Amino acid sequence: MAGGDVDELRAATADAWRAVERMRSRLGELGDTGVLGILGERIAALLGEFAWEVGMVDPAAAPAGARLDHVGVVVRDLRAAATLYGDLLGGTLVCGGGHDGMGIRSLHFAYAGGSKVELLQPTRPGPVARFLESRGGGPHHLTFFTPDLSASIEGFAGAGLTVVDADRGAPEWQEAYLSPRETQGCLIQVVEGADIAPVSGITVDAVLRDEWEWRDHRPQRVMTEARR
Amino acid sequence: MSVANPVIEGMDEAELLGLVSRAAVAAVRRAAATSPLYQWFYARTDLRPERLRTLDDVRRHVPMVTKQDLLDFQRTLPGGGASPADPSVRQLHLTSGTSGAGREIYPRDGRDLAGLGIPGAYEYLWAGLAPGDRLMLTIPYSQTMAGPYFQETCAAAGLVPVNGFAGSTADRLRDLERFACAGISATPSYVHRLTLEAKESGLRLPSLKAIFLSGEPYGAAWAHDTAAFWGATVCEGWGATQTLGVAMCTCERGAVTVDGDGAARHAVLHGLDHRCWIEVVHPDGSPVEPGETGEIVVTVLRPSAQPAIRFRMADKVRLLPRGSCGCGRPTSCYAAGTIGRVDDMLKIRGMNVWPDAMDAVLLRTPVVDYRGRVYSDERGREAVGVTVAFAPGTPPESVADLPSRLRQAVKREVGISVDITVVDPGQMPEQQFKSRRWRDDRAVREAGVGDGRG
Repeated sequence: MAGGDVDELRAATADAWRAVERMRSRLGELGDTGVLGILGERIAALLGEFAWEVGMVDPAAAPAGARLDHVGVVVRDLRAAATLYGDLLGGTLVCGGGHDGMGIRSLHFAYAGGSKVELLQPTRPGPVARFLESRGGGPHHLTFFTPDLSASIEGFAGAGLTVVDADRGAPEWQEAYLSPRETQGCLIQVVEGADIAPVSGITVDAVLRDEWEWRDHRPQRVMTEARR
Repeated sequence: MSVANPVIEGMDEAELLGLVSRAAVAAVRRAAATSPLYQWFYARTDLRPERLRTLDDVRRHVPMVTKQDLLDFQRTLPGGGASPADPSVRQLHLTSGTSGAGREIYPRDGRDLAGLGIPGAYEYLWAGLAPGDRLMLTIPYSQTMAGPYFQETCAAAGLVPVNGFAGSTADRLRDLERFACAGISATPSYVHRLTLEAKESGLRLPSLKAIFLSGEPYGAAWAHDTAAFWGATVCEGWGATQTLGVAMCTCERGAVTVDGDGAARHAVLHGLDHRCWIEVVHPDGSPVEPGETGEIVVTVLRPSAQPAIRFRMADKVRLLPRGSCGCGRPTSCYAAGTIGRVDDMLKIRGMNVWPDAMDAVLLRTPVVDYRGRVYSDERGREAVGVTVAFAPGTPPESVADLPSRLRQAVKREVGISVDITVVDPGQMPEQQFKSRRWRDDRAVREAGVGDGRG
């Protein structure tokens, strides 16, 4: 295996280790969890073996910094952009849908190595539409996943950066933003939560027909009644 | 070349040694901080684990422990070293106790159980077995660590274990054929017996790819003839209760090779260095040079409920230079086929048998002396014959039931079945060395089995 591949494998293992630790910590807070606790112990033990076999003496000591999940790019023509980012650049469509609250429709393409691009097309007036009007589209934001949002926010505050918007309402998805004015021009979204899992059955056409929408921070099929 | 783990096997020697060094230092610190055994043991030394940085530091500053140290420690605790209150313990493994010195207790936690089969999977996968292949296990499941170990190793390699614990040799041969087994795991003595019976019956097993030996030394000629007869690679693994599975094993090149002049010679065992750091030392603890034989000392690098840190195994092996195998793997190397004991322990039908323990059973009135012989009978079975001499003047009625009483006592206290012959003291067979009562004449030690197909 090439060195880069091994590094990526180890980084993914460290992510999994932290996720399992988080899971076991939550289980611990619940008290006596019976078979769940034992299963958690066995998963952690097997993951420890996996980590060892990829040459990690202590996966818990692996760097616990934020991981860049995706780059958000604002586009005027979502179908044309999907052709470029999907067909021509070889991206795999992993999720997408409309988001009425934000006034956008989006597509997530994944690439070799795990990097992702989120294409955003405004569907009504709002911040993304204004971005398109003022800049003509292009890179809009960076989304990082962090194992500990509170620690990240504390770190920003310590560095004199102000979090402009934070949403900690849902345990599975907590986020905070740093304004482009404070980051030398780039909107930064920091998220603590589970990865956005790939969705099977999703297509560009279906998203453009508004058959998918973002609900509870994941793409879901629009219910027929609602569409009517 | 078969690959069991592309990450570890893809490392160069320096990278692997770096991993071993970091892991060994961490293992010593962890044991000193959390293991009751090592806390007790190190309290009697001036070891400062926080000062250790390198493998050389560990070699120079960390004292070796022995089985006797473990037994002494376990006697100090009501739980025998396995605190009944420790909620992380998931299994307790006890050694057989046939040494007469006591039974070692090995608590196992979830991490131990998760990792138990992984090192052995290297042996099977390197030998060319693939997930889904069937492997016959002949080592009884009930026997201390061995049974769980072999089951877990099959699971880790994705193999299907075919349990051949029960039944006759004919049953096992039939099952090897019926289930199209790709491998069999057995002692050399048992493989010898299978081979003789297969020859007699004319059975051939085209599906058999590899024969996995463990538990006792064997001759290169015997291994070569066995490989030729079966058309399979003869492989070997070495491990112990303390090492939580295999710590060294052969690769796809097998345990025996043929020189340019046609003579069979023992090939190479690879150390699974990333899991178990192996040292080979002189009796005074100093390291042997490549080419020399010495005692195996192990440091298990994975976290464990019962760590083994510089544990003297009382097994001996010949150290070889790295790269001796020629397969390109970066591991340490040792001579296959030659692992034996530094003491006089015998391995008989998979049981550890110490002559001292036999002495304690046999040398009681009216027996004044005895000689023991382990050999292969005409069907290749391991047999033990003991000739005892009774004191002059012993009443005939005592002599009459002596064989049956001694047979039962040996079975009960040492765990093996023996044939007893009673003679007058003057009829005791001569031994080459008067001080040694035991001879090992098993066929697998030197001779080949002859008329191989290869």
